[in-house]
Amino acid sequence: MEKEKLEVLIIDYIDGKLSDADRLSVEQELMRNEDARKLYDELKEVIDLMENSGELTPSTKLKAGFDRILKEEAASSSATRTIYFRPTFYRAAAAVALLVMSGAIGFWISKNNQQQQELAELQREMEITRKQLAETKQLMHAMLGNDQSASQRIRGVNVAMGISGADDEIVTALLKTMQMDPNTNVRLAALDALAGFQHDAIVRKGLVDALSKQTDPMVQINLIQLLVQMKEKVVVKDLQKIVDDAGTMQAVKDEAYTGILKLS
Amino acid sequence: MTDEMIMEAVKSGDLHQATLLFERYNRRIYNFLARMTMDRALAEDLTQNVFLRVIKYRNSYRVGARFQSWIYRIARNVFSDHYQSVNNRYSDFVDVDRISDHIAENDDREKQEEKEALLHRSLAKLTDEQREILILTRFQQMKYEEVAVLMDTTVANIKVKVHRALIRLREYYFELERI
Amino acid sequence: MKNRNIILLFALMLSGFVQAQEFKINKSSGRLELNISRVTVEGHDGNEIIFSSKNQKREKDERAEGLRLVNSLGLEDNTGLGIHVADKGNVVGVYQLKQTHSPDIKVLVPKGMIVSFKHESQYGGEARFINLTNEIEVSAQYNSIHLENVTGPLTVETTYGSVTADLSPTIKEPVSIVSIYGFIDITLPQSTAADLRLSTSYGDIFVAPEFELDVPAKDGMKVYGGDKITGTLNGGGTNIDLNCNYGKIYVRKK
Repeated sequence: MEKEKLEVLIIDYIDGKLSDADRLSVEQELMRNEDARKLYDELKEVIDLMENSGELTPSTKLKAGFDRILKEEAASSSATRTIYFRPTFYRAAAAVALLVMSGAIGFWISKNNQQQQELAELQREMEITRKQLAETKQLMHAMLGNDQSASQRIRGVNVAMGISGADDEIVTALLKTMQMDPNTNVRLAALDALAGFQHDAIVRKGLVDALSKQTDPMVQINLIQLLVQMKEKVVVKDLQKIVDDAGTMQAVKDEAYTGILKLS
Repeated sequence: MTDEMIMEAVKSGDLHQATLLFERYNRRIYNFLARMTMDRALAEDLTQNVFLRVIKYRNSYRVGARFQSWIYRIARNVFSDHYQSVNNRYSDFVDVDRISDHIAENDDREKQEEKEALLHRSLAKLTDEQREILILTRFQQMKYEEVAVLMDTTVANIKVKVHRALIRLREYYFELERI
Repeated sequence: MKNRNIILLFALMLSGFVQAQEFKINKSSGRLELNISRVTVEGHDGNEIIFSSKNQKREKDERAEGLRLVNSLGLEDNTGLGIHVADKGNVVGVYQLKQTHSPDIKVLVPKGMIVSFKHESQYGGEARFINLTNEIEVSAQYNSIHLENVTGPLTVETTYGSVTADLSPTIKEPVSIVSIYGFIDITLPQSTAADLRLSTSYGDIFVAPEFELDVPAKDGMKVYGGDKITGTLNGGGTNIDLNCNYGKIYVRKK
């Protein structure tokens, strides 16, 4: 038997992964073949060494460092992250932005009592907003997942559009809907929503990828139009494939052809 | 609470929940990085880096995705980022003493210590990918399915890689032993 | 011989009754999925779906007496109207028996059901939906779609057919109508509060001058070139989305 094949078998034998039949034949080989026996002993040694090596323990510095990271992030981020969910924040944006920019200035602000009060209130508002956002997203997921009613799914898309900021979770949900919903109108609504996020890298990639996978004519047409508008030259090859594909609807091919001209 | 639920809460702004995730994962990640780098002090720094990224980039966590895969992906990135910038690639010229000092636990059994040092020198001779696969499957006891997801490939592929890595490991180990 | 005569007598008697023939299903929630080439759907207050045929005088084929009508689709006429109705729990499916022809069926549907019409063959006829407060979903290739006194929500998609819609005052969103080659002609009550999104690639958009959108009028109806137009009516409200590729869009006031 080829040496490498034998080694593979011996490894699986040591791991106890062989069938009864294979196990027997390996044992026979080990008994009659000295070289095979040696191979087994060596493999067993390294495998056992790894098996028995203890778990390493980090020093206490690790936890301390982590606590520090957490503290820093909690202080600096909570101000910036939720700010774009409520327009009223812009009012207090100046105070909050200063806090974020530099720790020293932060100290200066916190020394000022009146502004401290404002900040406390802001933080309370942020807490509520954070919860609202989580609930809104849950609502969006629930609506998008309604398989009885296409109208509900469109409403889900509208909910997603109402949430500002191209959150990965929202974008992924929209891309999935655009790709796979059984109803054309829902897909178009999702595409429309994604157009609003066209500057997000994930969205751009998702849209470009979708072109070669879409088969719904109306969606294809609108997708092509959007990609052309976004000047995504990288899709020219996919457009050519559409033009050349006999099974594609004429209206789609025409759009693809126009697209190629516009992008070239 | 599942890891995924905790991370979702962290993502929504409840940062302090991240402490739970730290408690669940810090040893695993530390061990992974320690065995990859063969340097425990460095591994601590890198582990901290991993959790920093978990918190700072919490927005990029896709709700519902397997948390374990996500954090290991970050750990792998942290590892490769470090070696790309430091330009510190492993070669045959690994200092045995340095490794022993860093890895060996307070173990009286000299022979065992020797063997483990040998093991680590052999591991150092493998490619990063081979070493990583052995660390994940043999030291961290990760299932092949999970490793496949982490490395973006099939279970069959992982099996083949594990076999090859073990075969190489055996060769290096007994080669070094003879020296 | 005698039996034969009796049977013939019955057959003759029956043919007189056929036009009143109905098929009912006791159902008032879930989805009604119509996979026939033409239909008239109307809402009613009962809690049964009532199918009836508009074809007068369906002459019974005496030769077929005692035999079952079969077809290539594997479906049989279990309604006596020339259609097959399947009750699948949450979904009631309605299918025609011949590929090229479907009887002219009228369906009275309870308020709580989602009405879905889907047809892809080129033999598609007219699909009419009247007096409905139900949610309506339409996916058609060649059929022309006619909606009258409906509130929505509507999701309508056609390839070659046109869509004419006359919405009632209490519109429920979303209203989404899409057509590749057909035109969309929609009539809205003057007081409709809506967020309108009108887009056509190669057609024109016409809007009644009484509706104030952000574009200057030009005697008679306002005309826009192929483009995307967003505007609100009466402050905004229900989402109405009309999208044509080659066809034209007409938005009229009631």
